[in-house]
Amino acid sequence: MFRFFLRSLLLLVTALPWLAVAVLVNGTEVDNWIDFIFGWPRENGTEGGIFPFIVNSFAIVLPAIVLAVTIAVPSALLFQMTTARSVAMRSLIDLGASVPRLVWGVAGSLFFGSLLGLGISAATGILTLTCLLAPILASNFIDSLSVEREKYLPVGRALGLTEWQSWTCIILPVARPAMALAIQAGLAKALSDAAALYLTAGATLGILSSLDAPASTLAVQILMQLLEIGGGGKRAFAISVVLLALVILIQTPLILSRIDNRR
Amino acid sequence: MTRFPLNELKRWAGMALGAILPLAVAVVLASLVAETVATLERSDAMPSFFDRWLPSENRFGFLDLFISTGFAAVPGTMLAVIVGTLVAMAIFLEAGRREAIVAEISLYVWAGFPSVVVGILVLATMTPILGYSLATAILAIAVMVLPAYTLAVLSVFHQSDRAVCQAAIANGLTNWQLVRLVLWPGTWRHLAGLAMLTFGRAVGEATCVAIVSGGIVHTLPPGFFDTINTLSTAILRGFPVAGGAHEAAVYSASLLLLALVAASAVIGAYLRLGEIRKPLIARKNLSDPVHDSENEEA
Repeated sequence: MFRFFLRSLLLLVTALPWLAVAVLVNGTEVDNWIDFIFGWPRENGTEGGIFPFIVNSFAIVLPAIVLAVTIAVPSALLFQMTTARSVAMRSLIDLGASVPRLVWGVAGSLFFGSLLGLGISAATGILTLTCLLAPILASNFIDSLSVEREKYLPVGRALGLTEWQSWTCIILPVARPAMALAIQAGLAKALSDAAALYLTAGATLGILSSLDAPASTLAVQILMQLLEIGGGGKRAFAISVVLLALVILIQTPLILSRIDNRR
Repeated sequence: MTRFPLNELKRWAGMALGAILPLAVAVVLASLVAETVATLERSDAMPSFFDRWLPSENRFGFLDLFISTGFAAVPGTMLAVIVGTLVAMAIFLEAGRREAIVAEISLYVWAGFPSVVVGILVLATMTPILGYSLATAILAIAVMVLPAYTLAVLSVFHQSDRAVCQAAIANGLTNWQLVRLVLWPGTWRHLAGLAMLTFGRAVGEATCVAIVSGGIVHTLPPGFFDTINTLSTAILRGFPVAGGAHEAAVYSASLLLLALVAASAVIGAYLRLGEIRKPLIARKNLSDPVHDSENEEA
Protein backbone atom coordinates (compact mmCIF):
# COMPACT_ATOMS: atom_id res chain seq x y z
CA MET A 1 0.00 0.00 0.00
CA PHE A 2 2.80 2.35 1.00
CA ARG A 3 4.73 1.48 -2.17
CA PHE A 4 1.65 2.20 -4.27
CA PHE A 5 1.26 5.53 -2.50
CA LEU A 6 4.92 6.43 -3.12
CA ARG A 7 4.66 5.48 -6.79
CA SER A 8 1.47 7.52 -7.25
CA LEU A 9 3.14 10.51 -5.63
CA LEU A 10 6.16 10.09 -7.89
CA LEU A 11 3.95 9.99 -10.97
CA LEU A 12 2.06 13.08 -9.83
CA VAL A 13 5.21 15.09 -9.12
CA THR A 14 6.81 14.01 -12.41
CA ALA A 15 3.74 15.03 -14.39
CA LEU A 16 2.95 18.25 -12.52
CA PRO A 17 5.51 20.64 -14.09
CA TRP A 18 4.59 19.49 -17.60
CA LEU A 19 0.89 19.85 -16.79
CA ALA A 20 1.69 23.34 -15.54
CA VAL A 21 3.41 24.16 -18.83
CA ALA A 22 0.37 22.81 -20.72
CA VAL A 23 -2.00 24.94 -18.60
CA LEU A 24 0.17 27.97 -19.27
CA VAL A 25 0.32 27.43 -23.04
CA ASN A 26 -3.43 26.70 -23.25
CA GLY A 27 -4.22 29.81 -21.23
CA THR A 28 -2.68 32.16 -23.77
CA GLU A 29 -4.69 33.92 -26.44
CA VAL A 30 -1.89 34.84 -28.82
CA ASP A 31 -2.76 34.62 -32.53
CA ASN A 32 0.70 35.26 -33.88
CA TRP A 33 3.68 34.49 -31.66
CA ILE A 34 6.16 36.22 -33.99
CA ASP A 35 4.21 39.49 -33.75
CA PHE A 36 3.89 39.02 -30.00
CA ILE A 37 7.59 38.40 -29.41
CA PHE A 38 8.93 41.01 -31.83
CA GLY A 39 6.16 43.60 -31.56
CA TRP A 40 5.89 46.73 -29.40
CA PRO A 41 3.35 47.14 -26.61
CA ARG A 42 0.23 49.24 -27.24
CA GLU A 43 -2.65 50.62 -25.16
CA ASN A 44 -0.57 51.04 -21.96
CA GLY A 45 0.81 47.55 -22.21
CA THR A 46 -2.53 45.76 -22.42
CA GLU A 47 -2.03 44.86 -26.09
CA GLY A 48 0.74 44.41 -28.63
CA GLY A 49 4.13 42.74 -28.36
CA ILE A 50 6.77 42.34 -25.70
CA PHE A 51 10.00 42.97 -27.62
CA PRO A 52 11.16 45.87 -25.37
CA PHE A 53 10.77 43.71 -22.26
CA ILE A 54 12.86 40.91 -23.78
CA VAL A 55 15.61 43.40 -24.72
CA ASN A 56 15.39 45.07 -21.30
CA SER A 57 15.65 41.69 -19.54
CA PHE A 58 18.96 40.90 -21.22
CA ALA A 59 20.18 44.51 -21.03
CA ILE A 60 19.77 44.39 -17.24
CA VAL A 61 20.63 40.78 -16.51
CA LEU A 62 23.78 40.38 -18.64
CA PRO A 63 25.73 43.33 -17.16
CA ALA A 64 24.61 42.22 -13.69
CA ILE A 65 25.92 38.69 -14.31
CA VAL A 66 29.23 40.03 -15.68
CA LEU A 67 29.67 42.31 -12.66
CA ALA A 68 28.65 39.56 -10.24
CA VAL A 69 31.13 37.10 -11.74
CA THR A 70 33.85 39.78 -11.71
CA ILE A 71 33.53 40.21 -7.96
CA ALA A 72 32.51 36.66 -7.04
CA VAL A 73 35.51 34.86 -8.60
CA PRO A 74 38.16 36.91 -6.70
CA SER A 75 36.08 36.54 -3.52
CA ALA A 76 36.02 32.78 -3.87
CA LEU A 77 39.76 32.78 -4.57
CA LEU A 78 40.46 35.10 -1.65
CA PHE A 79 38.44 32.85 0.65
CA GLN A 80 40.26 29.73 -0.55
CA MET A 81 43.71 31.33 -0.36
CA THR A 82 43.50 32.91 3.07
CA THR A 83 45.02 30.44 5.47
CA ALA A 84 42.54 31.08 8.26
CA ARG A 85 39.50 30.76 5.88
CA SER A 86 37.86 33.81 7.33
CA VAL A 87 34.66 32.91 9.15
CA ALA A 88 33.45 36.50 8.86
CA MET A 89 33.88 36.47 5.10
CA ARG A 90 32.04 33.17 4.63
CA SER A 91 29.29 34.34 7.00
CA LEU A 92 28.80 37.55 4.98
CA ILE A 93 28.70 35.61 1.71
CA ASP A 94 26.19 33.11 3.16
CA LEU A 95 24.12 35.93 4.63
CA GLY A 96 24.08 37.66 1.24
CA ALA A 97 23.02 34.42 -0.45
CA SER A 98 20.16 33.83 1.99
CA VAL A 99 18.73 37.38 1.93
CA PRO A 100 15.34 37.31 0.13
CA ARG A 101 15.23 39.08 -3.25
CA LEU A 102 12.61 41.45 -1.91
CA VAL A 103 14.93 42.64 0.88
CA TRP A 104 17.73 43.09 -1.69
CA GLY A 105 15.24 45.18 -3.65
CA VAL A 106 14.50 47.43 -0.66
CA ALA A 107 18.18 47.69 0.36
CA GLY A 108 19.31 48.29 -3.24
CA SER A 109 16.67 50.93 -3.78
CA LEU A 110 17.81 52.69 -0.59
CA PHE A 111 21.55 52.43 -1.16
CA PHE A 112 21.91 52.80 -4.92
CA GLY A 113 18.66 54.66 -5.60
CA SER A 114 18.53 57.12 -2.69
CA LEU A 115 22.00 57.33 -1.14
CA LEU A 116 23.98 57.21 -4.41
CA GLY A 117 21.28 59.19 -6.22
CA LEU A 118 20.66 56.75 -9.08
CA GLY A 119 16.90 56.75 -8.47
CA ILE A 120 14.57 54.13 -9.92
CA SER A 121 16.63 53.19 -12.95
CA ALA A 122 18.26 50.39 -14.91
CA ALA A 123 21.58 51.21 -13.20
CA THR A 124 20.02 50.67 -9.75
CA GLY A 125 18.46 47.44 -11.00
CA ILE A 126 21.78 46.18 -12.42
CA LEU A 127 23.72 46.99 -9.24
CA THR A 128 21.06 45.48 -6.97
CA LEU A 129 20.93 42.35 -9.10
CA THR A 130 24.73 42.20 -8.90
CA CYS A 131 24.55 42.30 -5.09
CA LEU A 132 21.85 39.62 -5.14
CA LEU A 133 23.71 37.28 -7.51
CA ALA A 134 27.32 37.72 -6.40
CA PRO A 135 27.00 35.98 -3.00
CA ILE A 136 25.09 33.06 -4.57
CA LEU A 137 27.74 32.71 -7.29
CA ALA A 138 30.61 33.12 -4.81
CA SER A 139 29.15 30.41 -2.58
CA ASN A 140 28.92 28.03 -5.57
CA PHE A 141 32.42 28.98 -6.75
CA ILE A 142 33.87 28.30 -3.29
CA ASP A 143 32.33 24.81 -3.36
CA SER A 144 33.60 24.13 -6.91
CA LEU A 145 37.10 25.39 -6.08
CA SER A 146 37.38 23.45 -2.83
CA VAL A 147 36.72 20.19 -4.73
CA GLU A 148 39.59 20.93 -7.14
CA ARG A 149 41.85 22.39 -4.45
CA GLU A 150 42.26 19.02 -2.77
CA LYS A 151 43.33 17.43 -6.05
CA TYR A 152 45.49 20.06 -7.69
CA LEU A 153 47.13 22.26 -5.06
CA PRO A 154 49.71 19.56 -4.18
CA VAL A 155 50.37 19.14 -7.94
CA GLY A 156 51.11 22.86 -8.26
CA ARG A 157 53.44 22.73 -5.26
CA ALA A 158 55.25 19.72 -6.74
CA LEU A 159 55.75 21.68 -9.95
CA GLY A 160 57.35 24.51 -8.02
CA LEU A 161 54.54 27.01 -8.65
CA THR A 162 53.61 29.65 -6.10
CA GLU A 163 50.18 29.27 -4.52
CA TRP A 164 48.81 32.14 -6.62
CA GLN A 165 50.12 30.52 -9.81
CA SER A 166 48.64 27.16 -8.80
CA TRP A 167 45.25 28.77 -8.32
CA THR A 168 45.24 30.86 -11.49
CA CYS A 169 47.05 28.43 -13.85
CA ILE A 170 45.71 25.05 -12.70
CA ILE A 171 42.79 25.07 -10.28
CA LEU A 172 40.73 27.90 -11.78
CA PRO A 173 40.86 26.51 -15.36
CA VAL A 174 39.98 23.01 -14.08
CA ALA A 175 37.01 24.34 -12.08
CA ARG A 176 35.77 26.45 -15.01
CA PRO A 177 33.05 24.01 -16.26
CA ALA A 178 31.43 23.78 -12.80
CA MET A 179 31.65 27.55 -12.45
CA ALA A 180 30.07 28.02 -15.88
CA LEU A 181 27.09 25.94 -14.76
CA ALA A 182 26.75 28.09 -11.64
CA ILE A 183 26.75 31.17 -13.88
CA GLN A 184 24.00 29.65 -16.02
CA ALA A 185 21.92 29.00 -12.92
CA GLY A 186 22.53 32.61 -11.85
CA LEU A 187 21.43 33.86 -15.27
CA ALA A 188 18.16 31.92 -15.02
CA LYS A 189 17.64 33.21 -11.47
CA ALA A 190 18.25 36.79 -12.59
CA LEU A 191 15.84 36.51 -15.53
CA SER A 192 13.18 35.13 -13.17
CA ASP A 193 13.56 37.88 -10.62
CA ALA A 194 10.62 40.21 -10.29
CA ALA A 195 10.62 41.45 -6.69
CA ALA A 196 14.05 43.13 -6.60
CA LEU A 197 13.79 44.67 -10.07
CA TYR A 198 10.21 45.86 -9.51
CA LEU A 199 11.48 47.98 -6.60
CA THR A 200 14.72 49.16 -8.22
CA ALA A 201 14.48 49.27 -12.03
CA GLY A 202 10.84 50.31 -12.07
CA ALA A 203 8.36 49.58 -14.81
CA THR A 204 7.95 51.24 -18.20
CA LEU A 205 6.71 50.14 -21.59
CA GLY A 206 9.67 51.36 -23.62
CA ILE A 207 12.99 49.86 -24.55
CA LEU A 208 15.97 50.76 -22.34
CA SER A 209 17.37 54.04 -23.65
CA SER A 210 19.93 54.90 -20.96
CA LEU A 211 21.16 53.54 -17.67
CA ASP A 212 19.48 56.30 -15.66
CA ALA A 213 16.04 55.51 -17.12
CA PRO A 214 13.65 52.90 -15.67
CA ALA A 215 13.20 49.66 -17.59
CA SER A 216 10.82 46.77 -17.22
CA THR A 217 11.93 43.15 -17.59
CA LEU A 218 9.67 40.23 -18.58
CA ALA A 219 9.19 39.06 -14.98
CA VAL A 220 8.42 42.59 -13.76
CA GLN A 221 5.96 43.04 -16.62
CA ILE A 222 4.09 39.88 -15.57
CA LEU A 223 3.90 41.19 -12.00
CA MET A 224 2.69 44.57 -13.30
CA GLN A 225 0.01 42.91 -15.42
CA LEU A 226 -1.28 41.00 -12.40
CA LEU A 227 -0.97 43.59 -9.62
CA GLU A 228 -1.45 46.93 -11.34
CA ILE A 229 -3.04 46.54 -14.77
CA GLY A 230 -6.63 45.30 -14.41
CA GLY A 231 -7.64 42.30 -16.51
CA GLY A 232 -4.06 41.57 -17.53
CA GLY A 233 -4.31 37.84 -16.79
CA LYS A 234 -4.36 36.55 -20.37
CA ARG A 235 -1.44 38.74 -21.39
CA ALA A 236 0.49 37.71 -18.26
CA PHE A 237 -0.02 34.08 -19.31
CA ALA A 238 1.51 34.76 -22.72
CA ILE A 239 4.50 36.63 -21.26
CA SER A 240 4.94 33.77 -18.75
CA VAL A 241 5.22 31.28 -21.60
CA VAL A 242 8.05 33.31 -23.16
CA LEU A 243 9.83 33.78 -19.81
CA LEU A 244 9.51 30.10 -18.90
CA ALA A 245 10.79 29.03 -22.34
CA LEU A 246 13.84 31.27 -21.90
CA VAL A 247 14.53 30.00 -18.38
CA ILE A 248 14.17 26.32 -19.39
CA LEU A 249 16.40 26.93 -22.43
CA ILE A 250 19.12 28.46 -20.24
CA GLN A 251 18.82 25.72 -17.64
CA THR A 252 18.85 22.74 -20.02
CA PRO A 253 22.66 22.20 -20.02
CA LEU A 254 22.67 22.65 -16.25
CA ILE A 255 19.92 20.05 -15.75
CA LEU A 256 21.58 17.58 -18.11
CA SER A 257 24.95 17.92 -16.41
CA ARG A 258 23.43 17.42 -12.94
CA ILE A 259 21.57 14.33 -14.10
CA ASP A 260 24.77 13.08 -15.74
CA ASN A 261 26.72 13.61 -12.50
CA ARG A 262 24.09 11.76 -10.50
CA ARG A 263 24.22 8.60 -12.67
CA MET B 1 67.86 45.32 -12.90
CA THR B 2 65.04 43.93 -10.76
CA ARG B 3 62.05 42.63 -12.68
CA PHE B 4 58.73 44.43 -12.23
CA PRO B 5 56.71 42.24 -9.83
CA LEU B 6 53.73 41.77 -12.16
CA ASN B 7 52.57 38.55 -10.50
CA GLU B 8 52.65 40.19 -7.05
CA LEU B 9 50.67 43.11 -8.41
CA LYS B 10 48.07 40.80 -9.95
CA ARG B 11 47.86 38.91 -6.68
CA TRP B 12 47.18 42.03 -4.63
CA ALA B 13 44.72 43.37 -7.21
CA GLY B 14 42.90 40.02 -7.07
CA MET B 15 42.83 40.12 -3.27
CA ALA B 16 41.47 43.68 -3.27
CA LEU B 17 38.78 42.73 -5.81
CA GLY B 18 37.91 39.70 -3.67
CA ALA B 19 37.22 41.90 -0.66
CA ILE B 20 34.59 43.90 -2.59
CA LEU B 21 31.82 41.28 -2.28
CA PRO B 22 31.71 40.86 1.52
CA LEU B 23 32.16 44.62 1.88
CA ALA B 24 29.31 45.32 -0.57
CA VAL B 25 26.98 42.92 1.27
CA ALA B 26 27.87 44.51 4.61
CA VAL B 27 27.54 48.10 3.35
CA VAL B 28 24.24 47.64 1.48
CA LEU B 29 22.59 45.77 4.36
CA ALA B 30 24.01 48.25 6.91
CA SER B 31 22.49 51.09 4.88
CA LEU B 32 19.10 49.38 5.23
CA VAL B 33 19.53 49.29 9.02
CA ALA B 34 20.73 52.92 9.16
CA GLU B 35 17.94 54.19 6.92
CA THR B 36 15.32 52.28 8.93
CA VAL B 37 16.53 53.89 12.16
CA ALA B 38 16.67 57.34 10.52
CA THR B 39 13.17 56.97 9.03
CA LEU B 40 11.77 55.81 12.36
CA GLU B 41 13.27 58.87 14.06
CA ARG B 42 11.97 61.20 11.34
CA SER B 43 8.44 59.83 11.34
CA ASP B 44 8.41 59.53 15.15
CA ALA B 45 6.19 56.44 14.87
CA MET B 46 7.58 53.18 16.22
CA PRO B 47 5.59 50.30 14.70
CA SER B 48 4.01 48.09 17.35
CA PHE B 49 4.06 44.31 17.35
CA PHE B 50 0.54 44.25 18.83
CA ASP B 51 -1.26 46.68 16.52
CA ARG B 52 -3.02 46.02 13.21
CA TRP B 53 -1.53 46.83 9.77
CA LEU B 54 -4.16 49.20 8.32
CA PRO B 55 -2.49 51.78 6.04
CA SER B 56 -5.85 53.43 5.26
CA GLU B 57 -6.19 54.26 8.99
CA ASN B 58 -2.49 55.16 9.33
CA ARG B 59 -1.93 52.17 11.63
CA PHE B 60 1.21 50.17 10.96
CA GLY B 61 1.45 47.39 13.55
CA PHE B 62 3.00 44.06 12.64
CA LEU B 63 0.34 41.81 14.20
CA ASP B 64 -1.50 41.13 10.92
CA LEU B 65 1.71 40.56 9.02
CA PHE B 66 3.26 38.20 11.57
CA ILE B 67 0.14 36.09 11.93
CA SER B 68 -0.40 35.97 8.16
CA THR B 69 3.24 35.06 7.56
CA GLY B 70 3.18 32.30 10.17
CA PHE B 71 -0.21 30.94 9.06
CA ALA B 72 0.96 30.77 5.43
CA ALA B 73 4.66 29.87 5.71
CA VAL B 74 4.47 27.17 8.42
CA PRO B 75 1.78 24.97 6.80
CA GLY B 76 3.23 25.68 3.32
CA THR B 77 6.67 24.54 4.45
CA MET B 78 5.25 21.52 6.32
CA LEU B 79 3.31 20.45 3.24
CA ALA B 80 6.40 20.82 1.04
CA VAL B 81 8.63 19.02 3.56
CA ILE B 82 6.28 16.04 3.96
CA VAL B 83 5.52 15.65 0.25
CA GLY B 84 9.12 16.43 -0.75
CA THR B 85 10.58 13.84 1.63
CA LEU B 86 8.14 11.20 0.40
CA VAL B 87 8.92 12.01 -3.24
CA ALA B 88 12.66 11.84 -2.57
CA MET B 89 12.11 8.46 -0.87
CA ALA B 90 10.07 7.30 -3.85
CA ILE B 91 12.84 8.26 -6.27
CA PHE B 92 15.56 6.78 -4.06
CA LEU B 93 13.85 3.54 -3.05
CA GLU B 94 11.19 2.75 -5.61
CA ALA B 95 12.03 4.31 -8.96
CA GLY B 96 14.00 2.49 -11.60
CA ARG B 97 16.88 4.19 -13.38
CA ARG B 98 14.79 5.74 -16.17
CA GLU B 99 11.94 6.71 -13.86
CA ALA B 100 14.42 8.43 -11.54
CA ILE B 101 15.99 10.38 -14.42
CA VAL B 102 12.61 11.57 -15.73
CA ALA B 103 11.45 12.48 -12.21
CA GLU B 104 14.65 14.42 -11.49
CA ILE B 105 14.46 16.29 -14.82
CA SER B 106 10.86 17.24 -13.99
CA LEU B 107 11.92 18.45 -10.54
CA TYR B 108 14.79 20.51 -11.98
CA VAL B 109 12.42 22.10 -14.53
CA TRP B 110 9.91 22.79 -11.75
CA ALA B 111 12.61 24.29 -9.50
CA GLY B 112 13.47 26.69 -12.31
CA PHE B 113 9.91 28.09 -12.56
CA PRO B 114 10.03 31.84 -11.82
CA SER B 115 7.91 32.78 -8.82
CA VAL B 116 5.68 35.04 -10.95
CA VAL B 117 4.94 32.05 -13.18
CA VAL B 118 4.08 29.89 -10.15
CA GLY B 119 1.90 32.76 -8.95
CA ILE B 120 -0.01 32.97 -12.22
CA LEU B 121 -0.45 29.17 -12.39
CA VAL B 122 -1.85 29.01 -8.86
CA LEU B 123 -4.01 32.03 -9.69
CA ALA B 124 -5.43 30.27 -12.74
CA THR B 125 -5.97 26.86 -11.20
CA MET B 126 -6.67 27.43 -7.49
CA THR B 127 -8.26 30.85 -7.05
CA PRO B 128 -11.43 29.79 -8.96
CA ILE B 129 -11.90 27.10 -6.27
CA LEU B 130 -10.37 28.66 -3.12
CA GLY B 131 -10.45 32.39 -3.98
CA TYR B 132 -7.76 34.85 -2.95
CA SER B 133 -7.11 33.25 0.41
CA LEU B 134 -4.79 31.80 3.01
CA ALA B 135 -5.37 28.33 1.52
CA THR B 136 -4.22 29.49 -1.92
CA ALA B 137 -1.17 31.20 -0.39
CA ILE B 138 -0.24 27.98 1.46
CA LEU B 139 -0.47 26.02 -1.80
CA ALA B 140 1.53 28.67 -3.68
CA ILE B 141 4.31 28.54 -1.07
CA ALA B 142 4.35 24.73 -1.08
CA VAL B 143 4.51 24.61 -4.90
CA MET B 144 7.30 27.19 -4.87
CA VAL B 145 9.59 25.51 -2.34
CA LEU B 146 8.84 21.83 -2.90
CA PRO B 147 11.14 20.99 -5.87
CA ALA B 148 14.29 22.58 -4.42
CA TYR B 149 13.69 20.84 -1.06
CA THR B 150 13.03 17.48 -2.75
CA LEU B 151 16.21 17.70 -4.84
CA ALA B 152 18.24 18.65 -1.75
CA VAL B 153 16.80 15.70 0.22
CA LEU B 154 17.53 13.40 -2.69
CA SER B 155 21.10 14.65 -2.71
CA VAL B 156 21.36 13.83 1.03
CA PHE B 157 19.95 10.34 0.40
CA HIS B 158 22.44 9.77 -2.41
CA GLN B 159 25.27 10.61 -0.02
CA SER B 160 24.10 7.85 2.31
CA ASP B 161 24.78 4.29 1.23
CA ARG B 162 22.46 2.95 -1.49
CA ALA B 163 23.99 -0.52 -1.41
CA VAL B 164 23.14 -0.86 2.28
CA CYS B 165 19.54 0.14 1.56
CA GLN B 166 19.32 -2.51 -1.13
CA ALA B 167 20.86 -5.08 1.23
CA ALA B 168 18.33 -4.12 3.88
CA ILE B 169 15.46 -4.67 1.41
CA ALA B 170 16.99 -8.01 0.40
CA ASN B 171 17.07 -8.98 4.09
CA GLY B 172 13.35 -8.48 4.32
CA LEU B 173 13.08 -5.07 5.93
CA THR B 174 9.79 -3.36 5.15
CA ASN B 175 9.87 0.13 3.68
CA TRP B 176 9.00 1.65 7.06
CA GLN B 177 11.77 -0.33 8.76
CA LEU B 178 14.18 0.73 6.05
CA VAL B 179 13.32 4.37 6.57
CA ARG B 180 13.30 4.12 10.38
CA LEU B 181 16.42 2.00 10.82
CA VAL B 182 18.56 2.85 7.82
CA LEU B 183 17.81 6.23 6.25
CA TRP B 184 16.46 8.29 9.13
CA PRO B 185 19.24 7.85 11.75
CA GLY B 186 21.93 9.09 9.40
CA THR B 187 20.12 11.92 7.72
CA TRP B 188 17.56 13.45 10.08
CA ARG B 189 19.73 16.42 11.08
CA HIS B 190 20.33 17.30 7.46
CA LEU B 191 16.65 16.98 6.60
CA ALA B 192 15.74 19.19 9.58
CA GLY B 193 18.35 21.72 8.44
CA LEU B 194 16.94 21.69 4.92
CA ALA B 195 13.44 22.15 6.33
CA MET B 196 14.62 25.26 8.21
CA LEU B 197 16.24 26.67 5.07
CA THR B 198 13.01 25.95 3.19
CA PHE B 199 11.05 27.78 5.87
CA GLY B 200 13.32 30.81 5.38
CA ARG B 201 12.64 30.70 1.67
CA ALA B 202 8.89 30.37 2.28
CA VAL B 203 8.90 33.40 4.60
CA GLY B 204 10.78 35.47 2.03
CA GLU B 205 8.59 34.47 -0.91
CA ALA B 206 6.86 37.63 -2.08
CA THR B 207 5.71 37.69 -5.68
CA CYS B 208 3.77 34.44 -5.96
CA VAL B 209 2.12 35.02 -2.56
CA ALA B 210 1.27 38.63 -3.46
CA ILE B 211 -0.51 37.45 -6.62
CA VAL B 212 -2.84 35.03 -4.79
CA SER B 213 -3.20 36.28 -1.20
CA GLY B 214 -5.48 39.28 -1.56
CA GLY B 215 -3.15 41.67 0.26
CA ILE B 216 -5.38 42.63 3.20
CA VAL B 217 -6.37 41.05 6.52
CA HIS B 218 -10.07 41.33 7.39
CA THR B 219 -10.24 38.98 10.35
CA LEU B 220 -7.65 37.93 12.91
CA PRO B 221 -6.67 35.14 13.01
CA PRO B 222 -7.48 34.66 9.33
CA GLY B 223 -9.68 31.74 8.34
CA PHE B 224 -8.70 29.22 5.70
CA PHE B 225 -10.63 31.10 3.00
CA ASP B 226 -9.85 34.67 4.17
CA THR B 227 -7.44 37.02 2.45
CA ILE B 228 -4.06 37.60 4.11
CA ASN B 229 -1.17 40.06 4.00
CA THR B 230 2.25 38.63 4.84
CA LEU B 231 5.42 40.56 5.74
CA SER B 232 6.78 40.16 2.21
CA THR B 233 3.55 41.07 0.39
CA ALA B 234 3.13 44.17 2.60
CA ILE B 235 6.65 45.28 1.63
CA LEU B 236 6.16 44.51 -2.07
CA ARG B 237 2.84 46.35 -2.27
CA GLY B 238 3.75 49.14 0.16
CA PHE B 239 7.29 50.11 -0.81
CA PRO B 240 6.56 51.89 -4.13
CA VAL B 241 3.82 54.07 -2.60
CA ALA B 242 4.94 54.44 1.04
CA GLY B 243 5.79 57.76 2.73
CA GLY B 244 6.19 58.95 6.35
CA ALA B 245 5.14 56.41 8.95
CA HIS B 246 4.22 53.88 6.25
CA GLU B 247 7.74 54.13 4.80
CA ALA B 248 9.29 53.60 8.25
CA ALA B 249 7.03 50.61 8.82
CA VAL B 250 7.94 49.08 5.44
CA TYR B 251 11.66 49.45 6.19
CA SER B 252 11.16 47.93 9.65
CA ALA B 253 9.22 45.05 8.08
CA SER B 254 12.14 44.48 5.67
CA LEU B 255 14.55 44.29 8.60
CA LEU B 256 12.26 41.87 10.44
CA LEU B 257 12.00 39.71 7.33
CA LEU B 258 15.77 39.75 6.98
CA ALA B 259 16.17 38.76 10.65
CA LEU B 260 13.65 35.90 10.30
CA VAL B 261 15.30 34.53 7.16
CA ALA B 262 18.82 34.92 8.56
CA ALA B 263 17.77 33.16 11.81
CA SER B 264 16.29 30.22 9.91
CA ALA B 265 19.43 30.06 7.72
CA VAL B 266 21.68 30.00 10.81
CA ILE B 267 19.60 27.28 12.51
CA GLY B 268 19.50 25.33 9.23
CA ALA B 269 23.26 25.60 8.80
CA TYR B 270 23.82 24.53 12.43
CA LEU B 271 21.62 21.46 11.99
CA ARG B 272 23.47 20.51 8.82
CA LEU B 273 26.88 20.71 10.48
CA GLY B 274 28.87 17.52 10.24
CA GLU B 275 28.94 14.94 7.49
CA ILE B 276 26.06 12.69 6.54
CA ARG B 277 26.39 9.53 8.61
CA LYS B 278 26.41 6.20 6.89
CA PRO B 279 23.39 4.11 7.84
CA LEU B 280 23.51 2.36 11.19
CA ILE B 281 23.48 -1.09 9.61
CA ALA B 282 26.46 -0.16 7.44
CA ARG B 283 28.54 0.70 10.45
CA LYS B 284 27.54 -2.40 12.42
CA ASN B 285 27.37 -5.21 9.91
CA LEU B 286 28.49 -4.28 6.45
CA SER B 287 31.78 -2.52 7.05
CA ASP B 288 33.93 -1.54 4.08
CA PRO B 289 36.93 -3.93 3.79
CA VAL B 290 39.07 -1.39 1.90
CA HIS B 291 38.71 1.29 4.56
CA ASP B 292 38.98 -1.26 7.36
CA SER B 293 42.36 -2.43 6.08
CA GLU B 294 43.49 1.21 5.78
CA ASN B 295 42.44 1.83 9.36
CA GLU B 296 44.26 -1.25 10.58
CA GLU B 297 47.43 -0.11 8.81
CA ALA B 298 47.12 3.30 10.38
